[in-house]
Amino acid sequence: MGKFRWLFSWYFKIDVLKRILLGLFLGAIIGVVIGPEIVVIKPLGDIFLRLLKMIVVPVVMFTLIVGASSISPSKMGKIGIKIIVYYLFTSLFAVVIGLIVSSLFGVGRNLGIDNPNHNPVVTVTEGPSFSDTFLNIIPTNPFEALSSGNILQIIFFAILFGIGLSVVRHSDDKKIREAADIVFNIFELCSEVFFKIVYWILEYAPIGVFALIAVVFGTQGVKVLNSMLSVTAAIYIAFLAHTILVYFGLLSLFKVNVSAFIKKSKEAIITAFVTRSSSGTLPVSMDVSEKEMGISKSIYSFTLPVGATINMDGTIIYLGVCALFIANMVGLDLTYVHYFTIIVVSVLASIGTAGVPSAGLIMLVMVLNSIGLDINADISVSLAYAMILGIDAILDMGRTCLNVTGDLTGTVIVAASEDEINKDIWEQ
Amino acid sequence: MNKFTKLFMYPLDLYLRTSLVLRLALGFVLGIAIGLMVGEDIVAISFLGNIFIRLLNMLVVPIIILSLITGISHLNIRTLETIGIKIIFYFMLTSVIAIIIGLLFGNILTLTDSAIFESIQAEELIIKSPSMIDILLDIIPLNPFEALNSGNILAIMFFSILIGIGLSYFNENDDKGVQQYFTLFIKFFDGCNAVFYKIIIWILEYAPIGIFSIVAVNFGTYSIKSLSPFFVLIVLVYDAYIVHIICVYFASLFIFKIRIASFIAKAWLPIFTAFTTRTSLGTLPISIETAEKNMGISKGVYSFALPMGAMINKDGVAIYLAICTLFICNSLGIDLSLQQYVTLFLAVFLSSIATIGLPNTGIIMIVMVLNSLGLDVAEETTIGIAYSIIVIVDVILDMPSTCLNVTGDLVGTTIVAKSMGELDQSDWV
Repeated sequence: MGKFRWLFSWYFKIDVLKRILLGLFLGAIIGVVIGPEIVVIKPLGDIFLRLLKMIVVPVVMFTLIVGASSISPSKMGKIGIKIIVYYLFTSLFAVVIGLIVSSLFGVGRNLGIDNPNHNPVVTVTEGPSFSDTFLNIIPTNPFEALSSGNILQIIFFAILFGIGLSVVRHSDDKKIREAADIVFNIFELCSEVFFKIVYWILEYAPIGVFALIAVVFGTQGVKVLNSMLSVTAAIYIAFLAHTILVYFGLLSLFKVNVSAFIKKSKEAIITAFVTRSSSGTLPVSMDVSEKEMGISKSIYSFTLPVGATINMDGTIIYLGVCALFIANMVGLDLTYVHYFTIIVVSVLASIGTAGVPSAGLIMLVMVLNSIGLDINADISVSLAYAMILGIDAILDMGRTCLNVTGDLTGTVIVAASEDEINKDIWEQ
Repeated sequence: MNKFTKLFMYPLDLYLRTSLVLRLALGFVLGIAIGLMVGEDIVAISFLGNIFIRLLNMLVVPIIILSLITGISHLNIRTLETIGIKIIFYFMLTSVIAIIIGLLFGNILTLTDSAIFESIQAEELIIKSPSMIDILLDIIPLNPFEALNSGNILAIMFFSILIGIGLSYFNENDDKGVQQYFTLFIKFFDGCNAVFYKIIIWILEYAPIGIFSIVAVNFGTYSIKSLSPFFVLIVLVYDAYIVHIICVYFASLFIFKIRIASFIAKAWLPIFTAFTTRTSLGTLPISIETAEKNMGISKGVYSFALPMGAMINKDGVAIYLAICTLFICNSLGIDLSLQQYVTLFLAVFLSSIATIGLPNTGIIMIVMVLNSLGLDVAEETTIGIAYSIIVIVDVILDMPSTCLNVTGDLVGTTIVAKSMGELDQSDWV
């Protein structure tokens, strides 16, 4: 018994961030060494993932209600416009970078389709129409939105409620004002409770991170090294280029210290990397924005959940690379018109599929269709697609990581432009 | 402010400054005109109406819970019982009268022109009616959160009433601490309620645009030509509605000494919303807001009576169903005996209970009624014809029917409140 206590106190005494980094590296190494057998420790990772996902909906709802009720509606509108412009602008860059890098690498050129008897079945659902996407933001029953975890609907409802609350808190009637203050205080307390829970979950994070990364490296690591090296390299280089050129560029443009930003957002970025879920990372990125960066709640409570659903820079880069990979493999020569089509369709598709789960696949189909490739009809197209799918977890890690970095960057620069960063906390 | 924002802000400002009544009337009239002018292409703007309906629906569940819990926590159980019995008795009684009016009017119609039916294509329809016991059992939720999630209104009401009654035990409790928590709890709910009333007011600012779109789509897609064979039927149903309003609603208001003109002046907004949106449940947030802010009805009464009415009070549907059934029988050359009239009466009454909580009840109910009359529903054509008639005339008959239902809910709530001394008429004209 005594021995275990020693182990526990040793574990808890090390700084969380160091532990997480340790888990990351150990996991990667052990995963590659042991290989596919490592799957037995997957439950350890799933615990982490489930814990995070458990608190996403309450954290988003409570912080957003509190956040939206502490600023004026007109400022809310300004923040909304800024962040959406930011997300659109960075997506545009993302496609271009993805296309440039993958043309440089000539992804898929040297690969022929070697096993035509292997016939993967890819089922694809139709993307929703534009007006449906927008209409769907309004929930028909807020409880249904909460229970199905529809983030955009929850955002809509929470903002409306939050703004209503802020108006009622300034009502002329003293009784109503008092009641509204109680509502506000209770919601604020609830959001604090959930941040406490995030803190506990992060204590467990190192073990979860270790397991998650070991499983991915164990099962897909070898595949990457064999045939898909150039695609993987191309995608990761594009991710890196996007981070440096766009995110770091924008940060320095708004006079934010890039290395401080990295240091502060590390926990969120690593969580995104291993969990491969932008919305699952939300509790951590919100916690980081509040505690480490000192960003005002009224900004991050809105921009982060919105980013988690509509900001898809990583996905878009991946789309561009995949489209080129598939086109090259089936021997389609791409002209400038094709490239232009890919750019426009990717950006539009990323807006049109906002809030749709596993939108990446739907988007890829939209892009492929726009350049005349049909994933359902053409066997070679679906084979090429299946090859990409085989290493999807590894690509998804980078993709999610980039998305979350993008959300945080946007949040920081919007906060900086609105002067809503608490200097004391930031400089800690 | 630069020129661009000014250019944008001016119409918005003008819009918001115009009175709501004027804007609603304008939206309605313009909707009819533009719908008729543009025709079927008008569906392109249907999303504007959908936004309005979705916004209203969004508020239904939270408003029911909040108002029921706070409303009932201030009542004693005896009072609640009296309210419940009175309002359910009222709903039953008015439904019976509605069916009788429907049957009387249906008999005026002796249209035997079977040519209409040959022109209509039969459609297949399978309907399974739920059993009575299941409907009653479904009122008790297996899991209250599941009920909230699925929007099962009766189950939500059941659970909220229980919480409200439970809370009422701690109202005026001797223990000071308990009393304090009670007040805090109620204040929290009141605060949330105040926020939702604010949101309703914002949604109402948008209402004219939504109503414009809904009306335009209705008038654009349903051409007068397709309705013309049923002209007599439509006029008849409308007449029956008017008779019901005068004989039942106005009469009961009169009996309880409430001035009809001031009732209409107070309650016009939910009635108008029901007419255009065709959803009793969606109108509920507006009816509740009107009952609270305009009519001075105590929360204990309306928080129970209005959602209940939205679910079970279907006077409009009963009238429309009775007339349509007789219309079908007459047109098929079936003469009903006195015994069959009694059966028809019971069938309409029972099917209006059996369809509690189901959306789009008109179609389901007519099949159930035909079934119980012993008309061979297995025979596809009969069902097909019945269905096609409903489809064609549904919108035009459903608008006043929903309007009738909501008016009935409000009249019932007002007279029950008045009879219990829970109606504050200080700001009534």
